[in-house]
Amino acid sequence: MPARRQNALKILLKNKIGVTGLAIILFFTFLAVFAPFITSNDPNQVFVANPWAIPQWATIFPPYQGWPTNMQLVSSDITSWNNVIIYHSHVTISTGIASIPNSILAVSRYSSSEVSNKFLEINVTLPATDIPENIAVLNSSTTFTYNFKPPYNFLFGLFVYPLEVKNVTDFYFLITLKTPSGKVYHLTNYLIMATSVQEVISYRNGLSLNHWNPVSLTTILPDVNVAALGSGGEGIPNTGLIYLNETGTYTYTIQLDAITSSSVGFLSLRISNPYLFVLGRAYGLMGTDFEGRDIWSQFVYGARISMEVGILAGVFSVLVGAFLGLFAGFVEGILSEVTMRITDIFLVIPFLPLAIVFITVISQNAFLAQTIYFWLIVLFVIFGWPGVTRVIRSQVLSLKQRGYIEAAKVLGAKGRYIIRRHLLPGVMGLVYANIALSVPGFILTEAALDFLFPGVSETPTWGRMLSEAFEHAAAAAYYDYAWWWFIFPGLAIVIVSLSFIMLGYALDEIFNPRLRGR
Amino acid sequence: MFVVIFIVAVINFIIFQVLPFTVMGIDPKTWFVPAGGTRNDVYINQIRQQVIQSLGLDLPLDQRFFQYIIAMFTFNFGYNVGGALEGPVIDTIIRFAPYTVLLLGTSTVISFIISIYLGIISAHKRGRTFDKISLITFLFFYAMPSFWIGSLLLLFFAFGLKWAPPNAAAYFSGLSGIDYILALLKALALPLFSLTLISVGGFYLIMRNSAIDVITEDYILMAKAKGLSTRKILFKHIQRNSILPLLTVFAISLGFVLSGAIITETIFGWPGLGYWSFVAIDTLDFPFEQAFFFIVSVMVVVANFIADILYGVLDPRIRTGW
Repeated sequence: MPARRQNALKILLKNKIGVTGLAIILFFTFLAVFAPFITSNDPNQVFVANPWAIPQWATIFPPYQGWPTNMQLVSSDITSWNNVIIYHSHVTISTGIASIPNSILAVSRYSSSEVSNKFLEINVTLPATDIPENIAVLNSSTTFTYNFKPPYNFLFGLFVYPLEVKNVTDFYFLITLKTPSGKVYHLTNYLIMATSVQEVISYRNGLSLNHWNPVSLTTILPDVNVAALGSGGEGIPNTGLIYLNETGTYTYTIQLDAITSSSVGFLSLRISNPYLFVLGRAYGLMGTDFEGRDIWSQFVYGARISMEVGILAGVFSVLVGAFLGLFAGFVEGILSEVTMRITDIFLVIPFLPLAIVFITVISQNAFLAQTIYFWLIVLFVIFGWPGVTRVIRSQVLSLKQRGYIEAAKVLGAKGRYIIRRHLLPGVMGLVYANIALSVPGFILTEAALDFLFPGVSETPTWGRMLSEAFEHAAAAAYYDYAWWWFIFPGLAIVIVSLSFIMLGYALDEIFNPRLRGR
Repeated sequence: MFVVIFIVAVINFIIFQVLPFTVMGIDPKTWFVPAGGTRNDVYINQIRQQVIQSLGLDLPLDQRFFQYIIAMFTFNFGYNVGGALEGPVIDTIIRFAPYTVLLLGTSTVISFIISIYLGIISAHKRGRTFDKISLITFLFFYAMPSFWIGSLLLLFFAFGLKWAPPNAAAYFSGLSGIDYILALLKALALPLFSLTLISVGGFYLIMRNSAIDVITEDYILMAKAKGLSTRKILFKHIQRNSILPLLTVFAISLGFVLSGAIITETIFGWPGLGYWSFVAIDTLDFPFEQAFFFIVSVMVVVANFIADILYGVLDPRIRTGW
């Protein structure tokens, strides 16, 4: 028997099913351990791309061909744009170099290599008028070629540094987009700014002097005149579908307008890093969810909880079960009887309802709720051992009848010696196999609990992902059923469970040669 | 069996009363406040009073225990609280149990038929393509989370193709007569399909294993030697002898099957006991919850007991001590 145990690993490596199972388990363990290095986004970061983005590789299939990924459409260097002064002889422009803090630039989605440190400085003298008057000061425009399917949404804006604002009622930016066919869309206008979102773009309502201010707009929230265009989907006005629904050369224009006052006014400001960022309809390995979070990140981090809970619960419950099984098999009589009756009772307790009640009780206490997965493992161990105890006990009982143990007893071997030398080696194979076979149950139950109580933890888990997907099933029907959101976490649970089952069967076969050829 | 049921009741008492209120020190007066309610509402106070009386929380632990045990064995489970369900708990259980029985019963019968038939054929064609394909398929079903297949079915058939209603209960409530039955059957389709898929995998694997054991028995060789047709051997000799483990496993796994039903019923809004037990958790309807838990445990115990007896009846070898 020792010789066979030494060879166990060799035999396992020859067992195709066992090796496949082991490889899959190692792969998911790798994902779980190195999650921060494998993923580029925080799993809870919203709008890494457009909500409901498909996986990027899906764009090779006809229905999704030409779907845009995340992309910048215009140059970040404003000095390279076509800057035309409209209010002649009262405006001077010059260029310069400044460094804008990255924290402010983040909204533009420019990567550090794309950021431009060039700015355009504009000095304007405004006349005094009795009634405030709108004056178009400067037109900055650029062209870009767009050859994709229209995006759901895009982000746009620029960065402003007001140096001096004297006797100016207000100033603001008018942003327009001209399509290849010549249609002009006003992405902003003063009328709208005066109502809901003016503070983000007009000086009077928010831009601060002597600071770099982001002027950031999106088509996601109704920053733009959505009412005039009609909405494009379930609650989210996907107006990008309308603005960018042609292919060809677009012209994108940012116009600076100022409003005069009763005295002669003077305006001096710098603008930099204009942006027009398409939120991808295709993103990453697994697309995004309803809030634009990276599903791949969630998937990888989700492996952590599943593997951790499954393996820890599997190992400890089987160890407890094996210990009690050895005990019940070795000591005969009343102690053994009592152990087995307790085992029977634990076997009949329906586990899921119990776990549901347990979670409800635990989550009433803030401290316990933080360590919910630890308590879940404890619960799994408490209720997971009985099956193993039965198996190990019957194995011990059968081993005890074997000749070599009888012989050892006759030779005067002590109980401890027999357990260590003969019984333990005989049941270890079963213990390994049972650990592998018990893990899927724990993984499935943990996922089910996360599905039923998604708010239990902040960490993404496969169960929570499916729970959120299920909650948004009605909306998902509008986005190709969000198959990427439903399929991957569920498939991962199935594959991990199956791989443990495969490993378990392989181990069972190796340590239990009678089963070979099944 | 009665000893086991008694111990189950004790465990039930520990889980629902000793653990939250005595060990963790949760004050029932502050706990039973439904979402959105303020603690001073007269209505809330009323509910709280009901809970405390219903669970006997105003009594000392030892008195409460005896009261509890007597109540459990006389099916006096107290009154529903929390607002989702009203009236005595036993009434709501009697009212909603038929839905669960209908769903579970039908799905069990269907998955038994499928798994017995395919299990035997698989065992007969062991190692061949048919066996390999069905083994992989059913292993997949076996490892599939019930909520996953449930949401996929709901997504495609209810929200996508609109063949079935997304919420079963809302679909047939308020109807009567033949309309009610038709709506009920239409709403039953998805949860039934879902539950059958998740339970058929395990049954198939057991049936196949057990049939493989039986095939190697001498009397099968004998039957072949007699010149009986393969069909007769498979569905007479092998089927009758390999079906037994399925019964025991069904009895043992009844708890798991009921757990699967909680999720399936919740997903499809099928108004059985599983669905209401989930609602009861949301509304902290502890009287209902502990009654549900107790009844399920007792059912599993009884099912195991019946399986033991049936085993003897169906397999004379056990009776005669073979």
